[in-house]
Amino acid sequence: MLESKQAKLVTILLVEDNPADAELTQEGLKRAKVLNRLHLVEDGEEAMAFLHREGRYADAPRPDLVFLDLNLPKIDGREVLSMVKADPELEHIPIVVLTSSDADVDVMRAYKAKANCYVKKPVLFQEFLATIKVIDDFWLSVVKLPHDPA
Amino acid sequence: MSVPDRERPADPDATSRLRALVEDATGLSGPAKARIFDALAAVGAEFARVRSGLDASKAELVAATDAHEAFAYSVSHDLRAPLRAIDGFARMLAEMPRGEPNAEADRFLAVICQSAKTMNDQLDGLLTLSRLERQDLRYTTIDMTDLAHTVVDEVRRREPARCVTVSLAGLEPAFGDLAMMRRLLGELVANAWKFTRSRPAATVEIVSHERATENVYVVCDDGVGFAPGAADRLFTAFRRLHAPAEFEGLGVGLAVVRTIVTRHRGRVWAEGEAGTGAKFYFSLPRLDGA
Repeated sequence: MLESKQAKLVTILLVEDNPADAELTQEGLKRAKVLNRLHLVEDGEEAMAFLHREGRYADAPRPDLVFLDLNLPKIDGREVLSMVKADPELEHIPIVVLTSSDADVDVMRAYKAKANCYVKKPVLFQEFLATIKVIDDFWLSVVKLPHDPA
Repeated sequence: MSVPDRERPADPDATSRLRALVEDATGLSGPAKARIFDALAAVGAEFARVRSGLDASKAELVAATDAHEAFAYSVSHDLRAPLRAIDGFARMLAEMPRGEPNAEADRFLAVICQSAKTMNDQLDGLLTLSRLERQDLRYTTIDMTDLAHTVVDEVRRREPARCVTVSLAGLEPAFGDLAMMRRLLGELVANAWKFTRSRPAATVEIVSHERATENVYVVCDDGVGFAPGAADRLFTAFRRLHAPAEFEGLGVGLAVVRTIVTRHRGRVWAEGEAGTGAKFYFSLPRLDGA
């Protein structure tokens, strides 16, 4: 395992409507042993409210990293991605698209909308855990994330 | 995906050039000439008929290809989610110590069973869509006012406690498969019923408009509606605009609607606004306009 070089606790926003997938992702993060504070929202509208600190998210922290599912109720994940990347306040936050879809059209569209990486969720648990761990090691230990004074 | 266009441009002068050719070559005059020209006109009309049939087949092929792609996407994407839950929670369960009653273990088992059920329901939904895609259409003229009344009565009986005012009268007749039209109206009315559930007194209106080549039918409700940007996703299988806790369902009903309308060479679309209601439109070619 890579040694964490992050001085502070990383804050992750997980945008996931499927409760089982959300729990498995949390389990994966727990087992990867990277210190993080995870916030879960279940649709695109909530994700945008969280990022804009609106309503009940007025005191929400600015996440260091976003895990984004594509097929979401209300505002779709594809739209969330475009909105975040078009917003000068938010565009620097790395977005990891984490989805079941491996359709070429989804992959291309996500990168064109400036997704930082696109990861297909594996079906089998061991692979799923391994994938979450690799994402964690890369984004939270290898990569130097932007320092957000906000 | 599009079908390559191999058609040659139409030549409106072909018939007159053919006439000139026949006249030159045979030197015919009088009734014999008239008979040959009649025969030529008949050949021209037959050609036009075959060609319009080919155009329709091409449109059907494009629709079938789109449906096939949507089907493949669902199988590869939507059916994997419950499978991932089944494997994940079963593995976590397997890691637990045995023998003692354990609330967490019970919860994991419940997730596994629920996921299996979800997957089974999704497979049923795909099977329904695939059957509607392949089933032969038996065209008849349908009194849509009568059919809509029948469908509304059925939906009303399922939820007798609901207070829903329905306005419908004088709908344009349709030319289509009766069983499929019944299913189509059933899905739209059930949809209107479901998304007006939070209204103590809801209103559903069914109207139709006659246009040059098609009739347009509209089912309007004053329910929770949807964000205008989401209209495109509504008719895709398993795409849902609401969380399961708000409104139950698999996300197949409106995909059924689209499949049926597309098979009848019509179009579907929707307009909505969050909080104020939704309008679902479908068009069907008119029997005298086709």
